[in-house]
Amino acid sequence: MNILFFLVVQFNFTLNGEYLLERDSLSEYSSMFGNFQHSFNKNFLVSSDFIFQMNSDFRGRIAHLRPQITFQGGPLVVKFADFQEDFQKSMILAVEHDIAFKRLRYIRGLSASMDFKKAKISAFSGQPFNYDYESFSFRVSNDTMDLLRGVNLQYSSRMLGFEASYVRLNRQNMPEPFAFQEIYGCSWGFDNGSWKIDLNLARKWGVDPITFKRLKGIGLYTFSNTIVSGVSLSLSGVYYDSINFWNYNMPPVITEKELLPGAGNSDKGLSLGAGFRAGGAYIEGSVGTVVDVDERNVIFPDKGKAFQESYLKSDFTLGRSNYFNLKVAREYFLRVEPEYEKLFSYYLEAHGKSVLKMPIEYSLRFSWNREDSVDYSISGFGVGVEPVEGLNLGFQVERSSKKISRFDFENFWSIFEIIYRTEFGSLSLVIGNQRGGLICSGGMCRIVPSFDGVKLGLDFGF
Amino acid sequence: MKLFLTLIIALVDVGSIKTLDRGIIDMDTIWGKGPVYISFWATWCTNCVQELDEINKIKDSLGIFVITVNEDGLRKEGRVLSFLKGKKWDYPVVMDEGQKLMRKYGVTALPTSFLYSKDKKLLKRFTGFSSRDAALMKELLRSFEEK
Repeated sequence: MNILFFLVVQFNFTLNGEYLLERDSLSEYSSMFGNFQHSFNKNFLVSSDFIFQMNSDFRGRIAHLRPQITFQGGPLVVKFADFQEDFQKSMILAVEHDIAFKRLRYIRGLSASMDFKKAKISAFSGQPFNYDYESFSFRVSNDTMDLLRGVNLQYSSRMLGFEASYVRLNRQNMPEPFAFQEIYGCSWGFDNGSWKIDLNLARKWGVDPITFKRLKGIGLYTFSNTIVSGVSLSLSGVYYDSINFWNYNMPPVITEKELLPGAGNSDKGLSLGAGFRAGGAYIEGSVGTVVDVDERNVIFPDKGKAFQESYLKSDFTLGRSNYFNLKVAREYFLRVEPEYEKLFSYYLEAHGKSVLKMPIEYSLRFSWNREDSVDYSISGFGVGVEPVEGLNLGFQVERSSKKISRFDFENFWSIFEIIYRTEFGSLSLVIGNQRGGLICSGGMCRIVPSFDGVKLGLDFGF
Repeated sequence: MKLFLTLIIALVDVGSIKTLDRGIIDMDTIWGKGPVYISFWATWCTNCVQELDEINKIKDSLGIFVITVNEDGLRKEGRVLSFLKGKKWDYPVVMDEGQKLMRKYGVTALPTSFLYSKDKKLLKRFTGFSSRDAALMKELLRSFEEK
């Protein structure tokens, strides 16, 4: 026994904090989440996520620690308390974090795995616990007595890959003797460097806890990629019929927007993409459609659910320090809850960065939209400068040609932001009103909800 | 500051890593050969893509070994692969399952990158991407070699 293991200390820490003051209601929201890890030699790691939140209306107050103890000895890894697991590209199980969306997923229990270079076997048992982030607040979205157990086997060689998974869910309100639901599947992959194919299959069995009816589902995801004359060509397809496993899995997606209109319960779709490099430019294009299997009509009747996406985008460089990217896209949403009803959108986005006396970043956006029978356009521009290293000043403006309910009848958004980046993180101050979505500014990208007010953010890690 | 840097050094001891193209990199064979650059990125992050485009141009002249850690998630593995095949970056790519590496390295925003000397000393952590970073990287490596 190595009694000196306390002498080798490793420690790291992350913190993502936010304070927000809403302009109209003067409501205040403050939250922080992060992680600290402390390891003793190479065998023991003690870590904990923390989630703290305090809002001005005293609702949604959270002060949680989610600890984890990990032991690693050779190929054996044992985890105790709160951990994450992902089986078969999230098709069988997806209890994992998405830090950009502040979606945190845990299983509290025990997990063990044997990890050899080509093969890995893992098993776990525990209770799930989830947090979602909506309207500037963390919310506990699953605090049930559900019990998940699973086992996974992976084999991977240079050209071949194989994975088999089984997960069982026990719920207190299920009738005997069928007091569990199960999902299992396998995947097979081949990759010889110039051609890759991946096939994933999943089956679900169980009993509806309310109607006691037999439940069954099937899921199929396939992906293939090859290079022809320097052009990368990809084809992916999904067929999901009742494969959603009480939100403990997240079947793979085939579009850039990551939308599954049937939420994994009834989706079928196909996507075709191509990408190539020509001189200093990289050009990528894709078309994809996912429709609700239940609605059957691929011509998109008014009562269906569907998402269709096509885009062409290019990144190119002029000289050594001028970057541009241009994206033209068409999107069609049909009743994809909760954001879309029937929406056609055509986008044109340009983004550039140049170094003159100081680095300057600029962007232009235009979209034409038809929502049900209302036509409107949204145009915007943004500019950012870095007068001294690490300090970014940015200003962004967007305007909609009409006031519509989707945007709470607002039609003008403008924000001013200051970001100070250091080696260990960033401090940001944002003032104004902003539509939500993916925001790239000050050299960083993140996904933000819409807001109107003042926001102070701190990202820190070491 | 020195304390923080020393603490991070220990985290690079990850043994071997599995890459997206089923390859296995034995990190013990990488260290000692030259500086190592580890970059966290996602396909939706335009600044990350710009950074990796830039690094791809200068990595040979700097003599750095680059490892990239993708944060798109396993659900989008197919899209990441298509993107990479078209880009022709000469980097090994690691898919960060459940964003475990992101937390292990204390990454809270994209892109974030780490430049290590060949003897595992952290020379610089880059948060975000600035057009000045490439020049700074050259300067750091040169001054470290001169010491």
